[in-house]
This record gives sequence, structure tokens and C-alpha cells, in this order.
Amino acid sequence: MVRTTDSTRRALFPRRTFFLLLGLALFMPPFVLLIQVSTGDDSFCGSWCPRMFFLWREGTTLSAFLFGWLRSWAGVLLVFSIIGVTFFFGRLWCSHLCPIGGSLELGSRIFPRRLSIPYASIPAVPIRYGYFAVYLIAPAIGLGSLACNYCNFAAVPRVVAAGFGSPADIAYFLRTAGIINLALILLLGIFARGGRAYCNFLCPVGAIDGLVNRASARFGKRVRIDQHACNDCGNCTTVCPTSSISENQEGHRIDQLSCLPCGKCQEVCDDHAISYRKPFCPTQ
Amino acid sequence: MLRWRTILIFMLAVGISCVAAAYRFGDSAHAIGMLSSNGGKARHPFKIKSGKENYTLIMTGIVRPPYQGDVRIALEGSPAMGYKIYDSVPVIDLGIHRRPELDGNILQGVHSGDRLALWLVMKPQSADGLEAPSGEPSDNYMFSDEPAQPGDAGPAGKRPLKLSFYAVNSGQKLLQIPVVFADLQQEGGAHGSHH
Repeated sequence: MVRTTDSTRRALFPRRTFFLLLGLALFMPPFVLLIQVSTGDDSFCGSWCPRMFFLWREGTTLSAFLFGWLRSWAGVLLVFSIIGVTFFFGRLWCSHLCPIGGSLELGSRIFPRRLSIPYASIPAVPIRYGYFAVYLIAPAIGLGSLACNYCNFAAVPRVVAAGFGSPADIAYFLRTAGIINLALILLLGIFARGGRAYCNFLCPVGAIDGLVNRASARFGKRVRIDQHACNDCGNCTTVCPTSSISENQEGHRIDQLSCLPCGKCQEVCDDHAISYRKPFCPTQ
Repeated sequence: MLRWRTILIFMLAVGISCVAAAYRFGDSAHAIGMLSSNGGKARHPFKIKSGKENYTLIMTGIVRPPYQGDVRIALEGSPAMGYKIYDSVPVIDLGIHRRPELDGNILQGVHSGDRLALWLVMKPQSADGLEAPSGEPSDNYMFSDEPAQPGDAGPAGKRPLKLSFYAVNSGQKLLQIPVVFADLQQEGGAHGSHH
């Protein structure tokens, strides 16, 4: 039987709610602790923007592009830190610290599961990377931009800040873009089963993170299934918030483009066939 | 079979995302500017569509050296608008960093290098096809009755709408961002050029 002795897993997975709450305290209103302490901003817009600095716009000069990296220096640092952690340990940012996905997941835990929307039958990967392709290419060819109008890193904190009565954030929801973003947050976040449909379908940072997770899967720790121990009960597929576990002729497999190491599949696997480990690492 | 389905969904996602990227919401716009003693610079005007009940404009920018002092913000020109300005600040300000404070339409204690993030909610209050469908702006709205600069008049004899920033002490213009109604632009109803 599989008995992982991995201390990282024991430290991270049972305490995931604590980490999600920590992420909210660091990055979300009312405190935005890390953002206030470091740059004095009040949100991800400005120095902390993790979504725009890598976009090339039609007519942009190299110096203007590089200036964008300087202006968003904290966001640049954040994204490269996320990529570094993902390379070695999987998408721990997305599963444990991201205040955007975390707040939606925590919200979805309060929403009754029997009323929640199941998105498992909709293939997330082609939607995510179709959206992401346009996200990258549309500004470069002058078609428009998905960066700010559909920004989850702006919209979710504004919902929280508006809830605390911040007039500037309430003003955000007086416009069509604010209302549409609110609808996306509710339908793909809080009302979604598992609370991670927004992350799975539309988050550009998640799309980058997923690519890194897949590309570096042979080097770092990931959630993996031991096919010999798996009894094909399918419990893991039903609890996966990103629908990243599927069954084929060879048994169950995890799509590392979508997997967040949340540990839910491990919890329900009675045969201990699922573990968080490096490839080729013995699991007993 | 599965591969074709994946490709089809990918193409569908690309198509919908292209429409979403190309479409601009008519009731809101964002402009980025730099405030400076030589009149400042806006990267592009606010572009919105007429006929909405209210509009939300977002202005972000930095203050270039050597300017330092209080800044008066005014919405000038026509069509007449009621407006409110909001400053984007943390809900609970830990007070670690100094930041300029917004008092009505005056930003107090602006320093060189400060980053501004302002929200402007506008409600139309006059004709020109821009009348609000319901009611007048409430009493706590300011009105776009500030004088525009000479030479601002458009071909129809109307002053185009602009969001302006002035030094309180000297009255010097620090930045002007035109508010363009895209659907009326060719009719001369509202237009403007940017620096």
C-alpha cells in the first residue's frame, strides 16, 4: 500500500484553509497587508499587476514594454516566484495562496453543494487556452484587450472592498464591465462546484502556471496516481475541483495542465493510490 | 473524435474571446496620464458612448518631478455633467506609506512620483442627446461648470468635455484628458485631442 512519508505534503494539505485565509490577509481588502507594506498600493492594479506586463500592444516600443515591467515590478516578481514554485512543487500558489481563486473557493464552500453548478462535463483546457491565446495576441494585433475589462485580479478584490463600503470600489460595479465581472465571479466561482471554474476557464496567470506545471512535471513534485494501487473507484474524479482527473484505457490519469495540488483526491482515495511526490519516487 | 471536439471547443473559445476583446463597453473607460508642470501627457482620451444613465471613468497616473502641492480636479466643458470623484485607497489604511488625500475635488499633499488612481462617476444633466433617462444628479454631485481654456471650442461652438488637473497655488494646468463620445465624434457633438 502507498504510504507517503512526505513532510511537505503533511504540512501543506491539511492546512490549506489556513493558507487560503493567509492569502486573503496578504492580498485582499480590507488589509491587503503585503501590498500596503511593500508598495503602498491598495490592490493588484499598479505595481502589483500580474497580468499586463507580458502583453505586447500594437505600436508599443521596446522601451515602453520594458517600462511596463518596471511599473509592475511587484507583479513581475510575483509571477516569476509563482513559476519557480510551480516548477519544483506544482501549482501551490493557485491551490494554497491565490487570493482570487482562494476567495471564490472559500465562498463556494458556504454555498450549498446541491445547488452548485457542475462544470466537470465542459472541457476546460481548450477553453482556457483559447481564451489565453486571444489574451496574448489580440493586443499585439490591435484587436483589443481582455486584460482589464475581464480582470479577475481587479474584480474579486473590488467585490470584497465594495462589501466594506469603499466608494471607489462600489463605483466599479456601476458600469457594465463591473456587472459582467460580478456575474462571472458568481457563476464560475462561488456558485460553481469546487469554486474553481473561473481559475480553470479564464485565469491567464493560471494558464501560464498550468503550462509550467505540465512542462516541468518530470522534475518536480506533483500529485500522481499509482496505477497498480488504483481500484478505479472514481472517487477522486468527483471531488477534483478542476476536473483534472480522467479515466482512460490505462486507468485514471491526472492532467497536469489543470491539476492544483489541493489534496482532495488524496483524502478520498481509500487505497492510497494518490500521492504528492516526484516522478519515479517510490511511494511506499 | 476527442481531438476534433477539443479543436472545435478551442476555436469556439477563440471566437468568443475575440469578440470580448474587441468590444468596448460604452459606459466606462480608462485613461493613463502623467501630471507635470508643462501640461502633462495623456496616453489616450476616455472613449465612451452617449445615451447612458451614468458613466464611470478611471484615471491612473503618476506625478512627474518637480511638481509638488495640491491639485484641483475638474470636469470641464459640455455636455453638462454631474460628477463625483473617488480616490482608490485601502479599506483599512495601515498608514505605512504617505498618500495624497482627496477632499472634494482637491487632492491634498501630492508629491513627485505619487501614483494616482481616481474614479469619476458622471451623470448627464442636459440635452445634446446625452440626457439622463431618469432624474437629476443629487445634491452631492459636482457640476461640470468650470471654465474651459481659450481655444478649446469645437466646430459646433461647444467646449469639449475634459477631465482637467490644475495646481491649486498657481492655477497651472498639469494634465487634461479629453472625454470623447465615440458615437457623436463625427457629428462634432463632443470631441477633443490629447497631448
